[in-house]
Amino acid sequence: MNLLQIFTEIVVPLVVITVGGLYLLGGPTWRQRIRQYLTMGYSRAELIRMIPFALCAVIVILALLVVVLFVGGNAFQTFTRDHVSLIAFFTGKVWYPDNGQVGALYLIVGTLTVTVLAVVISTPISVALAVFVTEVAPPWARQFMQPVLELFAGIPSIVYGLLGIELVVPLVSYAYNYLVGAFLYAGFGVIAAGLVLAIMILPTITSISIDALAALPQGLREASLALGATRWQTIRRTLLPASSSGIFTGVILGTGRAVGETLAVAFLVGSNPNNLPIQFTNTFPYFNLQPASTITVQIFEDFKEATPGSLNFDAIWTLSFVLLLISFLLVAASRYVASRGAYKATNQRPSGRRRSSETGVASSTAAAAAVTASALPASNS
Amino acid sequence: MEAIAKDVSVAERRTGQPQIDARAARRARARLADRIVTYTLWSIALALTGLLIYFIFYIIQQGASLINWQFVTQSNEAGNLVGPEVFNTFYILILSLLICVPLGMGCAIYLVEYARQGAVTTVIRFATETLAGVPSIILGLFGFIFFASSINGGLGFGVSRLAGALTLVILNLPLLVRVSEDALRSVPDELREASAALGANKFQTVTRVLIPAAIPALTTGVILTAGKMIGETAALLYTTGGNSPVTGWFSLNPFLPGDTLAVHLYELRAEGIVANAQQIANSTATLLIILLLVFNLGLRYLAGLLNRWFAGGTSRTSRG
Repeated sequence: MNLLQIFTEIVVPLVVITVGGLYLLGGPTWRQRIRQYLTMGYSRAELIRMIPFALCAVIVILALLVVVLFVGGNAFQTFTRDHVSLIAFFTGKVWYPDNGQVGALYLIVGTLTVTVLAVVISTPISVALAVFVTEVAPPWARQFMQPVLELFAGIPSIVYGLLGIELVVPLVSYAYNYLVGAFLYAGFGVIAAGLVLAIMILPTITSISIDALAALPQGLREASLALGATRWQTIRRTLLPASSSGIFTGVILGTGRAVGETLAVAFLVGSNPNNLPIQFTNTFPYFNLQPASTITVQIFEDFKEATPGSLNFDAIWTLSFVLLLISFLLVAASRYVASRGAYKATNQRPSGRRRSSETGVASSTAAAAAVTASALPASNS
Repeated sequence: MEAIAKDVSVAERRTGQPQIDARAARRARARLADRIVTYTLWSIALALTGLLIYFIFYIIQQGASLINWQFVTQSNEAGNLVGPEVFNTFYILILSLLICVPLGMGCAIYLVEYARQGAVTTVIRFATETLAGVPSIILGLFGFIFFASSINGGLGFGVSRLAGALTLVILNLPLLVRVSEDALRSVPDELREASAALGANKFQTVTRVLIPAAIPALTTGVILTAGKMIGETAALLYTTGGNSPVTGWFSLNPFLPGDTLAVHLYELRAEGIVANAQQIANSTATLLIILLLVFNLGLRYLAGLLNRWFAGGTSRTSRG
């Protein structure tokens, strides 16, 4: 039974039966409540004119559902049709689908390594940049940094891949070989991929951190400065702690971008699914860097050759579903973290609208898709 | 209070005498730290700006030599001209924007103007955020199985421009919903109230007042989204295919396969099927970067100019 069946045969009937049953059997009050809920208090004519807009909203929800159902629906055939055990899939070290072996452990390790590297490198720089933009930069510099961030976000990932091959890979190779004292390593691997990814997720983390810092009330800064604190003391002891939940949201969403990035990584990571990214040894320099692979890269590279119905094809969909689950978890985590912040980047107009208490989470998290128009709030100047 | 308390040193606590020199030294140290941090932050910002400029110049300098009018408009058997790819890039971009912008705007209108805040809006917001978090490679596979292929209940458009455009729609819908929401929220309430006071119903207010008033603010967001669409590769490789027909590509038939510049760049680097693939790849990258600059800097500047010309400052950027 796949997700599509679960949805059409269990979820939909349950909802219909519950709502319909309440409507029919619940008496006039329930009927009223349901009607009130469905019509939201609008008149019939207004409701009819509302249909096109509501339809657009429905399409957005449907889009997500269809994506989940199609990926989820194809994901379990590795286990049901090809009889690979769940444990074998997640702990197996050999990825050789043509030979019947689909062990994804090293792919998962690769994804983790690349992501952690990218986030660890990128976070301090991004936060520093956000602090620079909101606290230190004069207005002209602030306005100058907005297009810089947007261009960083706008460079296509394939071009980042190209830049990585031509600039970063030789650098990594040179550094490692200089360390070892012999030419052993061509530079393709997690270090190069992590470095380039760090640049790619920088605009995401930075713009959300800027939103978080800009949302802090001016009184916090003034109070701290009035106590005699310097600007750096204010930033370190007041502003960064107060905006930590927003910054953390940015880091989580940056992580999501790093996990899902494909092309740049595919060019740089070496695409060998049967290698650990870093192997520790007993001789100097005690570690070997080697070409590895990640979940996204393996999906991307294998899908070219996989024929529908083969083990390779099914395994790709399982990997996709794993990736989808990871991205869900990250989005949910970011929503949770963002909801806990004391000062939320609401992105509201200063005068505020009638329903004003709603956008807190939405505004900062959706910004992960790109540096949106709101990257540097003009209201801060 | 804490800042003052920390100003009292161990020596002061021991002797009970204020140690003026120690306090002054501490303050001097704090000021020094402040100055060092300020310089560090400036140098980080400068370094990143320098890095960006270096990247852009590097790419342009690598590939500028091949670029001429024939290169970007013609195609040939040898496959070393990119006319079809340039055409496909804009074709797919415009096709997906035509679908995506009304959808995103409609959804945003529902969210901002109609829906009661609560379960419904939470579900929609959750859907857009989750969709925004889905990696583009997964949407590429999804686009292949749902739009392009006809097995397993797919729509069967074939590996084509249409399938690619629809995949891009799903990829960028969350962003456009968000951008449109911002644009609508930037319209002052006074306009809504004035329209209602004139006796307009909600639908009339939306179509005749809010949408025109939101368009200036929307333009910036749409241009940014377009810049993202041009560079998308992972979602398109399996939906629009890796190559275009040598002849007959200059048609509006949405069912033709056709790779965009970004996909072409991947094919050149990964497969390298044509002679001097490397050189052509570099030039394709240059074209992509030029398009990015045109969209992000040129068009936005133009849009800002037009806004000031027509709307007299309802856009977000001129709000101050």
